[in-house]
Amino acid sequence: MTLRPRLTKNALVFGGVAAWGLLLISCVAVNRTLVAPPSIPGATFVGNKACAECHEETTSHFGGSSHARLAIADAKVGETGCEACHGPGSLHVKAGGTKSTIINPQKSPESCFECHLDKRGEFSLPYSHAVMSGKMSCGECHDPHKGKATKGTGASLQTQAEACTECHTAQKGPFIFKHNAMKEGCTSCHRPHGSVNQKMLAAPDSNVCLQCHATGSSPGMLFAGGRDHAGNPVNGSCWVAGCHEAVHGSNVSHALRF
Amino acid sequence: MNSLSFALRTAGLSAGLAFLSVSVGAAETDAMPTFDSNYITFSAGGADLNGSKPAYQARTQSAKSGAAGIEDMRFDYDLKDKTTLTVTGRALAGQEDYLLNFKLSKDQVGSVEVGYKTFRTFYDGAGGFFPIGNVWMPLFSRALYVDRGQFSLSGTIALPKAPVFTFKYAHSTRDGRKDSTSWGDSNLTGIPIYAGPGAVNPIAAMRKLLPAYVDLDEKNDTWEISARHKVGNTTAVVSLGGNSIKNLNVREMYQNIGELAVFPAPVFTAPTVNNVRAGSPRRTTMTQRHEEDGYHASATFETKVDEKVTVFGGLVYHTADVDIATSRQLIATIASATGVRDYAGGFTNTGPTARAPYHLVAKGDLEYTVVTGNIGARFNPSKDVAIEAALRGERWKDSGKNLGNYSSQGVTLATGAVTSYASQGLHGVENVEKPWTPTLDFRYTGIKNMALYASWEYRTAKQDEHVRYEGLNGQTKANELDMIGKKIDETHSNATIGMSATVSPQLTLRAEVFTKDHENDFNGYDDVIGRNYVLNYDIYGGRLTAVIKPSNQVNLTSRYVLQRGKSTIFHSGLTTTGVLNGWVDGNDSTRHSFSEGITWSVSKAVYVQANGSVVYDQMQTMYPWISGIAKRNFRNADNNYVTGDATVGFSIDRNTTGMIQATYYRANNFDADYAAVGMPLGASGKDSTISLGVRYKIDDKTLLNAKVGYCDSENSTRGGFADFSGPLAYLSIQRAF
Repeated sequence: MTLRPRLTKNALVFGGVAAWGLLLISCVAVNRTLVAPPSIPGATFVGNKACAECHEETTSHFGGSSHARLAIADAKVGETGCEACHGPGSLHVKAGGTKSTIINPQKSPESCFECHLDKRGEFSLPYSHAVMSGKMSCGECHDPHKGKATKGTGASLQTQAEACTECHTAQKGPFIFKHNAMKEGCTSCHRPHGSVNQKMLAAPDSNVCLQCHATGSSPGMLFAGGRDHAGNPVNGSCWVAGCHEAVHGSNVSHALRF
Repeated sequence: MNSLSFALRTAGLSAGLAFLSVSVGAAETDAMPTFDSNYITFSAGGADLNGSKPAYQARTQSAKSGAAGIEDMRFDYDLKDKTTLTVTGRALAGQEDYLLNFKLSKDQVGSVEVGYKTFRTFYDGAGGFFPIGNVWMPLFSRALYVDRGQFSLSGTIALPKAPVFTFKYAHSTRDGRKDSTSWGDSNLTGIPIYAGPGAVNPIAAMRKLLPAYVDLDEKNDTWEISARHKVGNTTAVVSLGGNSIKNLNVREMYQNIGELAVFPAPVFTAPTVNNVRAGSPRRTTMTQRHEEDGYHASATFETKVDEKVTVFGGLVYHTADVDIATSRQLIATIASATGVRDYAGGFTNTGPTARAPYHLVAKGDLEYTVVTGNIGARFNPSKDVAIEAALRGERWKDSGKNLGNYSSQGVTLATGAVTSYASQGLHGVENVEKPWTPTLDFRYTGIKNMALYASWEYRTAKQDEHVRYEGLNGQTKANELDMIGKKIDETHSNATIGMSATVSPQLTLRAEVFTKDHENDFNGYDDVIGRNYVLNYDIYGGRLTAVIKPSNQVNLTSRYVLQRGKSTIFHSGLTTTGVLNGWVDGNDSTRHSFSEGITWSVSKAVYVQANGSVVYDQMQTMYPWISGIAKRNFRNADNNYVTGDATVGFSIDRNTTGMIQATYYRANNFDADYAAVGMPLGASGKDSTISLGVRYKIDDKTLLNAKVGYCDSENSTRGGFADFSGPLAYLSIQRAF
């Protein structure tokens, strides 16, 4: 048996804390301000009009967006619409629009998490879109400057679920035999920001289907879709092999099989 | 764990975030430099893992082998005549994360941009775990990942006082293999199988836990040309575009692998246990082809009538043709009097009502046309009031057919005789849907330091759907439905009322309540004329956010979200004896989510940031009101969890800053006791990471980042077979030119 020296969790915890204490002592003479992200040290608010001078295409329709309704006119900081998410813009304006002087939520979700704190937790779950690993951004599914921020809702010209089917084209359909849950949107069954369950499902088992398909019961029976399924939850979920595998729609089976 | 996983881009992201905030003020002589352009970052990272490497990859989205290369680069070149060339890139080998993008832009003229990017997402796909027999049967350990790539080309011509022309083309791909949760049967669960005359298992031994996979081969080409112009107070956009989707996805499912029902069946006297009386191994390969060619045209406008009124509207026309093909190849291995053989769609002949597995090849086409329009107006009757009213209308029409050839082989065990069944089935659909959606939004800011808002959206849709189905159900052509129609009426009403208030410099409050009242009425449900199915569901809840700043150094953000969902279902026309023909409760779900974030600037040199979420989430459907065996076999679904993370950033000396980070996740929803009567699928697990990072300024143009850490992940839902732990390390050097 070969023993290899390994870093243990305890060693790292105590070593890290001790190192931190020592380093704190040494930092007092440093002329540098460290602040937590997302923030722009030294910057002040300039108001939406300054933003519109260069970003008119974005700001022109921002007034109709759901994010605009949170804006409060404040004489001290100007209207906080743009800068609520992008940070105070004075240094950005002064520098002629450099990237390091403004917060870009497209690059990092931290700015969104300032308010949507619960989404930070959801994106940290085992099954989530790859936002925390930097492979995706909030802006790929949401347009915070326009309408309801979620694509395809309200009076938008896009169709419902388009935010998802832009990438997930195999689930888009149309199908010969449709699953009408798709009309309610993907979020009927999935938690798009993240879930403890595989495939970001709202529930790991048949409950996700029975939200809509529980159609009645007599003693000992579990009716779904007009048929007794009492014996089926023993085996697993509704979409297991040999059952309703084609949950998004099928071209060959009205019972949604492949 | 994701926030601190050692995926290079994650590490880079974390480091970037943590140090973005380092002062850039000129007065601060020791400020860390930040680089906007003309820089390159090389990095390398990896892990020395114990346990399941596939689980590590899936959980952290990091390659088990580690990765190295160019994490980030950007160069800006000023060319002649106010022309700039910007090159951005990334090349992380191992992680298979690449980007190369060129953008050529000229002031007052426009830009051209071309680039390619791809990244990899990982899956473990090991199937289900069954606690009674400690069963875990990943069939093989082939790497599971999907590469998502996109080549894009775009151009803009933006001459002064002229229309802005834009062209966009993108070729997107998803290629690779990922897991599916359509798991297959196994009787090797550790639950005894009773055999013999009259012997019946009190609980079925079979559970669905064998892994399944999907091979993705998806391509999507999109293009669009648009022109945007402002004339007077009107801005108009017209565009023309198209798309071409080519998907060929192959699913593989396995059932009863490693089992074989022997022939002749041993004779036992109940309750003698007989584990050799199992199922027939089956392997199913299902292929779906979807090739779509579509075109769209659109026009939108927005006119500022005066300072108080803006009107807007638009129209989109989209049409597409789709070629579809399906194949289901099912091979079963069966032991009979003539020995063990493979059969196509094979099954044991047990009479004409048996639902036979089948082989299938089908081919057809679909077409759809969508016309969508909207019109609306924004009113600002005073500086404090904003009202937007809009109406959206749509007409969706799709139709198509698919001709399938079904076949199957039934085996009579006692003789080995095979009976072949075949049937041709024509499936079809004709569907028209016409939703209308009026919306109304209101905002009032007339109260000092406060914004009040309300929004309402009402969607009503009438859908007329006709389908035709002919399949192999039982052993003959059955279930022939000749264009049986469903008429579907939808009424959806969504409303939100909320406020945002700066109560004091120390306290900002945001609160809103929301409700969704949806009713979907299906007449002709389940393809039976006169059968009525109504789904009525209500969702309501609220969100409360408080930002508290007790001092300039401390910022607390609290957010509570409540969501309740209730659905009731009416299903008439069922003929089975004893079935209720009334309203039943389908869903009664509750979700409480509480999140807290704290940022504390301890001093100029130290900050602390911590976030946490506690979520109670239960989905309750039929469990409260079913009875007998149905209740025994079923449970509510719990989806509760806790997450947390903490970061401490600090200055070390004039050239060095440091950062300690930790993350935590825990869920405890796995009910091992449920295995006795069902398949426990609830999520339980615990993850934690801790890391120490430093950033060192070698000189004003060179920064060094290093991190070491440790991760530990336990997954009880997978019986510990997907646990992993180990140290992690990351190093990068960033150089500006």
